[in-house]
Amino acid sequence: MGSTAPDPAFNATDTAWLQLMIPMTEHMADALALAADHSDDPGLRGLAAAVLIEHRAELDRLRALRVAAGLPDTDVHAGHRMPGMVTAADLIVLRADHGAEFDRHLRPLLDEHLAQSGVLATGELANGQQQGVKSLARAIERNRSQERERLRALH
Amino acid sequence: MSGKRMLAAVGAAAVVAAVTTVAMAGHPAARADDLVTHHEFQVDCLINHHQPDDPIVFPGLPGASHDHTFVGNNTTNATSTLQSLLGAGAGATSCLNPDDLSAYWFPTAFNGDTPVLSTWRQTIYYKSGILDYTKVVPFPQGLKFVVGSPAATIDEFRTSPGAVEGFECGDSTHNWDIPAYCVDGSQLNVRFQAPSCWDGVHLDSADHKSHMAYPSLPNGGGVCPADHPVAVPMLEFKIAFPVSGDMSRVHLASGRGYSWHYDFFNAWDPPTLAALVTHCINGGLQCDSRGFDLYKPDRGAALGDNYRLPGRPDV
Repeated sequence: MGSTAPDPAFNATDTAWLQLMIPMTEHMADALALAADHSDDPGLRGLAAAVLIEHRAELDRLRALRVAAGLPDTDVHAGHRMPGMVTAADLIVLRADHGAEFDRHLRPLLDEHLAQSGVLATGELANGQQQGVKSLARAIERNRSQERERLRALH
Repeated sequence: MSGKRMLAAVGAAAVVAAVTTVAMAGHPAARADDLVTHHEFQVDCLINHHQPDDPIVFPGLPGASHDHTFVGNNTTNATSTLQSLLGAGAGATSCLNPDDLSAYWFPTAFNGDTPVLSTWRQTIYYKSGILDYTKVVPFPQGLKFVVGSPAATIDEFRTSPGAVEGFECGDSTHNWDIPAYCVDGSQLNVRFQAPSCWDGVHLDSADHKSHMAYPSLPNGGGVCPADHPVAVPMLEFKIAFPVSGDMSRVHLASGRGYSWHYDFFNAWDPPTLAALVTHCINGGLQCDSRGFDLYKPDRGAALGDNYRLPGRPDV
């Protein structure tokens, strides 16, 4: 792939955050995209659609920063179990679910993902260096916190 | 002198002795004390904390990781650096050696939702990964790496160059996942060997593994590859989990048993590490944490009774 050397403006925390946030956001987006056809709950479907739009916008910015940092686009966490990460096994379950069963599986995954995104943003803001990454972390922290409030407000 | 001695055939056995655990008898004609059967020392460390941090893979990101169990340096967390590990000061470790401020960690084992944490010391061996044990040199200060892979399949775990006998409990060995049942009162153990050939240049790499390589043969039989020519000690974590009986709810924070992996961040006091490597690995001994081989007491100990180089005060 590209042979750009890593940009030293990005420190080890910036790099680790980008390489974790991208697969986390991608996998959650895959799960959220199923809600339109699998959930019968209009509130959850609406929230999932809104969060999906935010996630896709964030992914554009995350990927652009990854390129700017000179990092390869490999998923260094493929196959790992990380807090807040929707796994391949989770997606298989969600694809087979419908109605209330789907909602019951999606909600805790979404809640844990939103909570963990906040934890990671806090770390990046405290220990990261590159301003573009930190600015995105600030936005993600705000977005995910609001989304988590909305999720909690759903009955 | 210890009363525990096992008689062993000499001569032909000496050829295979490098990979068997044998203590020499005091048979005059055999010159048993000249036979080298081990080239190692060990560190013995209590578990000091567990938390979802990983200063190698997720530096500066507390809570980013699956749960890890930490032994060694008492201060290890997501923001640990070589400076912070050293700055903790001699004695700030759960290991017997006050001058080993290294950080060692592995995924926490859970029985259902309960962490399984031994209250006994865990043993980490420092062995020779190559046949010519006289060529092993100490880890450079600040070297860090990941061993094994949390994403491994069961076959990848089983065939890894670091695999020893997988998970074992009681009489059951060569389990490449956590067994479904272990005899009541037994412990679940896992041994795994680290790569021991360093590229000689990088203290870390993008995947935290590529600056290290396994030698050409397992269990100390081979040589380092040309692109990783520096033989450093071969770590072998031997971790014990105090859980037995129905094991069906036992898992690692990283997933199945075959997701077993561990991390090492070297912060040894360099002269202390050098003394142990020279005396025990290069010297062909089976040493305890003090650098003393109880089967060859005449060779002396690398460290004093306080587990420190001679002249250093108790900590």
